[in-house]
Amino acid sequence: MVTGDQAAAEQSPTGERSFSALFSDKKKFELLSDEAAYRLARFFNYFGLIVPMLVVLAAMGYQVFGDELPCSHCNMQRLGFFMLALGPALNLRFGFRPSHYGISLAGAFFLGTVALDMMVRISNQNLDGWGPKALGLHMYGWSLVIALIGGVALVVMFLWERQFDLSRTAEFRPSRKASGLLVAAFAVALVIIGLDLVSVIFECGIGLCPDAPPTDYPFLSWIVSLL
Amino acid sequence: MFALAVGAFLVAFALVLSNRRKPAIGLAILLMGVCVVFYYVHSFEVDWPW
Repeated sequence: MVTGDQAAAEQSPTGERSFSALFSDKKKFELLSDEAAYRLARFFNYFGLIVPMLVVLAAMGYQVFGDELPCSHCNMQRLGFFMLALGPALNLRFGFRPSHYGISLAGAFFLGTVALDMMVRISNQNLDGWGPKALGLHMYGWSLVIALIGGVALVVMFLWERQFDLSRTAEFRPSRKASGLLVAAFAVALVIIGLDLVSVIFECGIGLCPDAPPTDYPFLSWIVSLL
Repeated sequence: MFALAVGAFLVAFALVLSNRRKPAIGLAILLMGVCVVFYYVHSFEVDWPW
């Protein structure tokens, strides 16, 4: 006769590091302790929140210091970066859930599609490229690389089911009050999106962004005249 | 239009920080649709080469 405790033990076996545990339904593969796995997942999510924002910040650096205003496709790629960072933001605040990673995956799809579309259009015009280069690649090239790496990273995170189980336990459930580090990470994200909002208003006004990037901010004088 | 979308991302992150999960996810799903619409609008009307 199987007791309740035995049944529970069979349903949730203790973790082990053996190779066979990777391929057996009766064994549970665990490389790291619960604490270490949770911390590693949170580190990856901090990385996923901050890195896309820093890429947008770098593009803004070229925009401000190199007088390279973003084109319509470039502005759309920035939206893709924001969507990519929104999933980790949700994970860090509310715990790890597949739906949060799904939002990031949509961002990676969008970012990659827009970057690839831009590459094809430039190639069809027999141009060598467009815009400034950073570390040997044009901005849209980096966007495609980041979208592909982000997509693969998201697949890995989807496959790592343990983080979702850990996030449901009382020990690792995020508290309602955000930590200082999380508030700082959100502050970085909010400031960068705010700067992009100012840039878009100066460049595009309240309508759609111009296809060809202007040489200066067309709506800056209009906004100044309103003040 | 485009500024509204960027502003909506600002609101989405602010909602997450202020502990409002479902409104943030709802807004994110809406923004997915908005991004796709922007892509099609710009793809058909874009004037190449610059």
